[in-house]
Amino acid sequence: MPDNLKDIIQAVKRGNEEAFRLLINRFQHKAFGLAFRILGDEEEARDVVQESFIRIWEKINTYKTNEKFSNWMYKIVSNRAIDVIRSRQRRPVSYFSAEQNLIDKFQDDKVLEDVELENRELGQLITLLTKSLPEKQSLVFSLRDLQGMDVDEVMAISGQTESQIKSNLHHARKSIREKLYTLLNYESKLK
Amino acid sequence: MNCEQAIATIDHYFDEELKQLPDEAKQHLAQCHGCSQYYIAGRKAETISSRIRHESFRLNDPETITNRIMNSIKDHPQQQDDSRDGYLVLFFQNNSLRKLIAAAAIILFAVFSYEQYIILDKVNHLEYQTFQRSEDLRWEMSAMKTYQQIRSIQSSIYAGMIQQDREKQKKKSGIIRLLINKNDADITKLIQADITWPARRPLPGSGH
Repeated sequence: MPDNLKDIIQAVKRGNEEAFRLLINRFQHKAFGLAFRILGDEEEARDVVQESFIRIWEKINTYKTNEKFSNWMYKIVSNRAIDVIRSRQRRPVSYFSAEQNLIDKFQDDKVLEDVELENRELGQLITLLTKSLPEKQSLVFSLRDLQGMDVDEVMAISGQTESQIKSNLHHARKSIREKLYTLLNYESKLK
Repeated sequence: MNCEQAIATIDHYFDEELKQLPDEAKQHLAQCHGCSQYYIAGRKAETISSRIRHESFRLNDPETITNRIMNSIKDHPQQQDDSRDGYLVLFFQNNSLRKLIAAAAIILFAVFSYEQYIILDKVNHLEYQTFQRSEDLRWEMSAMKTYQQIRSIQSSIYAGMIQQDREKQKKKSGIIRLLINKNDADITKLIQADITWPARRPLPGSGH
């Protein structure tokens, strides 16, 4: 079996299932990382990874080698994750008390930085930040601030222009600040 | 600085448009609880984002996910790339090739422009030459016509002269016949006509 990514992809294009297994093993954690950062839910992120790789198998012949494979894969993963967010919005749930508890728990930033957190808690923090953001803002914020991608990569994956990314990122960060401000103020009022 | 200005400054700072908060803003935050809470909210958002960004998220059961995917693809056949212009798109997406094509287009344009200039120049030159030649021919034809006219006039003159000679010859023959017949009146009449007789040669030994 080839271990060079280009050769693996060529083999997958020819329908080689073993090569596809290698491709999954190489990229599934990265795909999961992105899905989890967008969704903040481990189970949903696992489903997105599974569906995304099936989509990759179906569409591999449309992949052009001049594009970075990980970017092409991230595009598929983020599209699936956005579909999940849309389906969530049809069943709105209030998280306000849960968010308040979370803020109380991590009131001290040192605790937030030093303590080892489980995926569930990290997922709650992601939800705390991105919930209620419009989907374009949520995607750009997840890719740039939570995944740490540069602007070129965000452009390639989200399909947005540089100015759209800048604008969406500004609004997303401001919304998050205002939300945390409300939660912090709520707490101070209780005191 | 008022609260509105302080909030705008804090937004710029968290959008990475400012490296640090200006002193004026810091002074405002020290006095204003609301604005300082807004700033703390921004710092907290950054801390949470940074924590999530540096976390390495991994699937707990990668083998299970892989096997599920491998089982599922049996029901999902691969689709063929039906974009006929796939290679064309790839070709034009390549930045180096685009630059190469642009350079080649400029060179070809320059070469063809120069060639066209040369051809046009040659055509103009030929047109001029043709015009000159036609002018020459016209002049030659006109000259030829004049020459023919002159030849024609000459011919008619010669024909007239021959006719005159014939008539003179005829008159000379008549005089000679009359001399033979010795008819003086007719001889006088003929002599009075405008006939040039050849000068009489002196007889040998006549003294002239």
